[in-house]
Amino acid sequence: MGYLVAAFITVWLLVTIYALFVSLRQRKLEQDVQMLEELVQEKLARGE
Amino acid sequence: MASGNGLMPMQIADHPAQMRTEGGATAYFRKLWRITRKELQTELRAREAIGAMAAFSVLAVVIFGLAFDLAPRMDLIVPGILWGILLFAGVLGLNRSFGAEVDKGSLAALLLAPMDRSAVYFGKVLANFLFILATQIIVLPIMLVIFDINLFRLWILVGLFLGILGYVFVGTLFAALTVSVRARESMLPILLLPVMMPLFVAGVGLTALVLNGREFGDFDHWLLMLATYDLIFLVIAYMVFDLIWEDV
Amino acid sequence: MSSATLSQSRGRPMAFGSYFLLTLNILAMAGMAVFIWAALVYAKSATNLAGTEQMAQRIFYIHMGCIFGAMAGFLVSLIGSILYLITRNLEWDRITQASVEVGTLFGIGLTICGAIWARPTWNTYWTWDPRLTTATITILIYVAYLLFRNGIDNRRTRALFGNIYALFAFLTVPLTYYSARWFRSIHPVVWNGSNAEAQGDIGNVGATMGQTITIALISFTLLFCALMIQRWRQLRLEDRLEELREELE
Repeated sequence: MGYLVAAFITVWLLVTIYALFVSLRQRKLEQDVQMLEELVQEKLARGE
Repeated sequence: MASGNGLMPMQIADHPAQMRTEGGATAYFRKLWRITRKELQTELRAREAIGAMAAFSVLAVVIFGLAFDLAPRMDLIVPGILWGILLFAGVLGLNRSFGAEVDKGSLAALLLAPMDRSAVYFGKVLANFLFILATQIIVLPIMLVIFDINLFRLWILVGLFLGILGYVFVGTLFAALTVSVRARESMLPILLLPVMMPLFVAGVGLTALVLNGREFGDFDHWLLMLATYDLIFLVIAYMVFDLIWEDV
Repeated sequence: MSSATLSQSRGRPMAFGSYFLLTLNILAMAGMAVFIWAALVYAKSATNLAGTEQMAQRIFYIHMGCIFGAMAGFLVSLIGSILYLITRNLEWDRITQASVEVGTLFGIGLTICGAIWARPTWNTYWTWDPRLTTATITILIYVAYLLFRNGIDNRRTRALFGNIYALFAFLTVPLTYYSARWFRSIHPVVWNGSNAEAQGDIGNVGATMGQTITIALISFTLLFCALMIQRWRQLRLEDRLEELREELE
């Protein structure tokens, strides 16, 4: 029983941690991209 | 070294294909040998590659000899030690292969040489092969002294020959790949050693069986594995080596 | 990196993509729920085993699932790397990287739960059996691939060198397998009925076990797709971020 539980938990833990890492990074990236896009727009507006 | 006939880069760029391929097979091998000779001359002057590899190998043999002093049967561990040292020591030489070019700033000149890039690759391969072979010629007698195991047997030597060949085919390519990477010295072994695994297992298996006094029919599959490995990676390395510097 | 990637990450296609992704994620979650039910409840216990071994036998299903996930990952990475080397489209590079990451994740899961299962069955956590050796070396190679990529600054060079290495990595797998197989073996050959001692022999596992394996195949492939596409989309966003940074400088 213990072995079965250990094996299942290990695999789910790995998958969950990876999914969590990806989703956290995704949020940060989306914010950054949005911010930079605004900056680029501003720069274009000022430049032309 | 780079362009012995004094051509300017502009002229080469005007007829790149012609400059690189003219002359047929003999010219190709002459160019290849030029690269190898340049490597050998550099090595004779600086003794960077063989010196480092031989010193490391001898040190490793001594360390393993001490560590396994109490082991009951040396013929069981010697195959692993022989091939393990070969892999680890080879990395030192391969790192210098392109690393020295970058340190001296001569990589661009080498790439501008009016020859096919594959000639550069095979020239380096031949040079590295000779360096590692030289290292093994130093290591084998020392192993004979320390472990009291005679490794000078025909099929072990053939196995070593094929093994080193496969090792430098892949190793030279990976040395070129890692040369522009941050922390290249430590990246090469991490990339190279796992890819070397089939070769390592085959070499250890072959050496163990030969030391065990088996017939040729018992270990010919290991020689086949080594030859297959050499062939596959020779073809792939030849195909991709041209791509490495396409942006430069 | 030009207008092609710019237009893809902006505007309407993403909206459709996110619905698709949401559906895929929900499907993957549902698949996992079905899989757990099938592996723990539905599948009948192995009759030729008893006690701890009988319970531990159920690790087999998640073990198989991880194998499917890892195989899918490395196969997709092979396709991605070959297509990148032919087309030089960075999209393929992102696919290679995403699938290697997820494949390595499943590979690590596969090795760990295999080691846990081996303890009650073979009475040891680890042995240098061909399949174990191959799995370990494969994971090490792909971890090396990910480390290698991180060390290259230029985006094009990173893609090119990474894909060359991914090609070598995949070619090493069968060679490692055969060399390790000739070395020695105790792992049961699952897909070959002639091995009567195989604990997981498909020939005599019974209907519920076979069905559970099919469920594992489908659900883990879905999970792989969901994770991989998520990560792929993220890598695209990362490249977009780099582009914007360059534009600002």
